[in-house]
Amino acid sequence: MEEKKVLPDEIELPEIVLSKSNHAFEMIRQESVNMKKEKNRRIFKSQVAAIAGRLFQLHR
Amino acid sequence: MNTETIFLIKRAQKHDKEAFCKLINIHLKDMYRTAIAILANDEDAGDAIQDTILSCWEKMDTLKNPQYFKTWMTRILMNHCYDALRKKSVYVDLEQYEEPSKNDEYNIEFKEALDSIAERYRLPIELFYGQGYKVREISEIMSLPQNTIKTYLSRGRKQLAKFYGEEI
Repeated sequence: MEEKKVLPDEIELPEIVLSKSNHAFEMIRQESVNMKKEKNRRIFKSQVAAIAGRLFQLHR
Repeated sequence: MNTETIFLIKRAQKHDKEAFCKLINIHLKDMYRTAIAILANDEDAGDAIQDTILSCWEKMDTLKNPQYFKTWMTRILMNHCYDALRKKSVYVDLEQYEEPSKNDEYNIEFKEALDSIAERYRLPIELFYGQGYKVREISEIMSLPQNTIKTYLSRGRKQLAKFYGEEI
């Protein structure tokens, strides 16, 4: 089938589309900060659990 | 797909947020064209694109072959667009562009051309002629047989020809 351009090629992105996509990018950047915090929190929790387990073994 | 895009996809899969944003920006105009072919207004298109960006970021791990990124993303976008249509439960008709709102003053010629063809032919016409997808790829994106896509393209092309008043 012939690949011929039958629709206008030149498209201008509307401000509202740019604004909403930029908002999504900001959310992603923000989320990665939260993800790092969450990861650190999980590491801290696992360290506490490991220390507690070690203490439990020492006191048996 | 060029090597830079493949590189960005691989970086994005490794949670490189700046690579992901750059990757989306490369495809933003095509995302908009796809969204307009289904939703026919800029505000809804913006919402669907925003949701798609977030969905793609969350699901980047599930993309097995970087070569299929655009097809994969287009399918996600299409699903968000149809979700938006279902939620609104509004049939978008041609009259919408006779009096465009402030947000819809962009790309009038493009929207009018799409408006001139029946709703079901708009997306395949845009994907084939606007973005250079192959019939097989459109068939996968839309979950329709290739022969159906060919029929839609043929009928849509005839309607567009009437709109332009010429033979396409």
